[in-house]
Amino acid sequence: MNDILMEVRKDYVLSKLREGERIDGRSFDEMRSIEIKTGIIGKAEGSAYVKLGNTQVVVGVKMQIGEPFPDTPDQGIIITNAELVPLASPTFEPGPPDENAIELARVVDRGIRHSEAVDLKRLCVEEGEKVWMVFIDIWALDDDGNLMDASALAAIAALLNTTVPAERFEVGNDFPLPVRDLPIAVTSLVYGDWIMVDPCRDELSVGRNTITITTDQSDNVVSIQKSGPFLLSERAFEGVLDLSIRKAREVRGLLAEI
Amino acid sequence: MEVSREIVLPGDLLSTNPRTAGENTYVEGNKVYARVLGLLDKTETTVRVIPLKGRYVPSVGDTVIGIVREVSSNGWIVDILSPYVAFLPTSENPNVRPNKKPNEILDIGDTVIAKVMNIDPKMRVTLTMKDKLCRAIRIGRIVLINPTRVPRVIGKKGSMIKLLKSELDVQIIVGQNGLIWVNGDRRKVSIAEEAIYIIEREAHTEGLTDRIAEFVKRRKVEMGFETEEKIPEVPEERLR
Amino acid sequence: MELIVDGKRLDGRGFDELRPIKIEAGILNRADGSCYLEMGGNKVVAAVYGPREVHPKHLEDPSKAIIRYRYSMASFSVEERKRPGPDRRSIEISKVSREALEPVIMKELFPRSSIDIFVEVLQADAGSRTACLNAASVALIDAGVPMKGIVTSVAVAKVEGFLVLDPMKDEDYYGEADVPFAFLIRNGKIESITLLQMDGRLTVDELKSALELAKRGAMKIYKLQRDAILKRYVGEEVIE
Repeated sequence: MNDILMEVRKDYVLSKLREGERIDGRSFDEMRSIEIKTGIIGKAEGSAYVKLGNTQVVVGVKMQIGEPFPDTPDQGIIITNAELVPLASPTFEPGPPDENAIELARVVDRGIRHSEAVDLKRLCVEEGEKVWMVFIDIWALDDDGNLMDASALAAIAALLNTTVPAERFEVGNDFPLPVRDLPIAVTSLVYGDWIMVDPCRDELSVGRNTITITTDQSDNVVSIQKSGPFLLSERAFEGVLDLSIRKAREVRGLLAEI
Repeated sequence: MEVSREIVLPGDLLSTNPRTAGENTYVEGNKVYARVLGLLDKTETTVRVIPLKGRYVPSVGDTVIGIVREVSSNGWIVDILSPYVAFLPTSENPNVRPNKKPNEILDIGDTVIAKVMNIDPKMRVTLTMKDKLCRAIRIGRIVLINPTRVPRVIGKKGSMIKLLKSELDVQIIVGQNGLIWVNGDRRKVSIAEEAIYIIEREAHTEGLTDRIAEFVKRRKVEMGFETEEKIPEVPEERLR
Repeated sequence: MELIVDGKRLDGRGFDELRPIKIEAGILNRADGSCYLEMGGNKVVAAVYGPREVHPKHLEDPSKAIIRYRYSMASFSVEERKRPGPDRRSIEISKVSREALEPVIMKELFPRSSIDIFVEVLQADAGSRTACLNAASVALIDAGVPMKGIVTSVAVAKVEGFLVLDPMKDEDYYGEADVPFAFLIRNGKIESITLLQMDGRLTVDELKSALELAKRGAMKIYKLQRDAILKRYVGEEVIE
């Protein structure tokens, strides 16, 4: 039943493409509407909800004290995980994270890590002994395509919303988590010569072939992930690079308003 | 006269005339490329690649040798060493008798020589044993080689297989799927087996037929074939 | 830690130099295709099984072969013993590696079958995923799997402001960025990108330069991949 629907959708998407259009009328470099809400989960140290078109995601940040890694004794630790829970899509099965969930978490993590968005040196409590561990947990609620960008945005929004619970752990006063960059992920669907920014689920029926580019606020690239079994031309790659920087700037502007 | 050929790899450009595209090539943008590792066979009219490796994919009409994997009331599932398992319906096995159960005719682990009767669009393969060559195998030896070398074991117009049969006085049935049945005097069968492995290894070299003829003669002398222990050839009728 | 001294890298290489590479095809007996590859201190073995029947059957695709790729690191492959079994990193690498090979394999030729690629890292030394992909590519050719061309992989890193090809361990660890690439190469020409990831931070211009540097490195590795296959098949089986 599902397969037949996907075929029908695929044909529809392709027929629109041949007319130079997307099925929801967006232009090829247009993202869907974005809604961001922060501080929605009281029990978390930080949280954010993002709605990207019809895709919905919640990210919660929890913190606790732990031992640092031996090679970075004065730095805090970030651990990112994603749960593509069954309620978010008929195709998500219960169980430990599959390769898609793992990929999503690792890409979001790389964007945050390589933009150095969180100053890990400020999360040291006692060098070599105690540091802050920041758990970023991504919970998918509704998959209408591009959970990646929604999750990355929710993650940075949640971090901006996070208060370090020093008092609860009796190591000083609470303080806002030091966030000094705003990495933004932009994912595009590649189909032949077509590049569609922020693909919705129906568009992905032509193939789950995407490339995600994450940039920091200085327009540096801090993560790239080609995802899907497709041939990426050099031209498409260069097109996506320039497009992603433009789009990231727009989205970053929204974060400033929250 | 055998010609030595160039080895090509997937993606190698073979021709700019798409109309000459033959086996194991593909056409893109008006050019013909190799799609497997193999030997280039280029003539004025066609360009094809003779594969050096690859699993056997059945074609209708192929003789195959397979091993029975499962028995059911309406037939046998036969492993033909292919990505595609084959089915031999009871209706296609002339040895079926009303008073015998299917596993009394062919049981799990039995070896059969059969022909590919039909392949449907989903690659479901149906076999038949209604052919002179087909039989269950209970004696003799099975030699397993790379299926891409089978044409060489047969030879041009059957020249290689005729050579082995006549020089060694053995029965040989070649399965397209790389299994070969050899039957006869034990020592001669072992010479035939050695010869087949040499053919497999040197399939694409020059002068192979002559070398095999010499090899066989030499081994016969080495094994001292003055008096032959004659193992009777199993007559066709007795096999049914 | 100084990684560039007098314009040379710590292991004496120039910025566009690859580490020593050794490639041997057809080294395993049971697999349909195989390859042993060394790239710097990386020692990897790749095996291809297929096309073959799909197990479990419910994963079968009636229209094409399914492709599976398993990247695995042996417990003894790294400094501190690694617990056997897939970790998150291995799962991600397996996914993107499969996706680097899948569009090149002609899956539609083998409906209802699977092509399984297994790669074990016996010793790891930065860039193990690129070494594994190069080995897998050779193993696929050795197995006779039909493909559009050859997949070649290499990484570029940024170290103390300079872009360097095929980073070694310290460059990977202390460098500012690491960009693994894989390309589809056909008839000696780079056609498209099949794997692309990035760890670290680069400007768009640096990324474009990294791509050019990677392409040059990939062409050198491509030649070595070809040589390895030719070496395996020339001589015994084919006279050049």
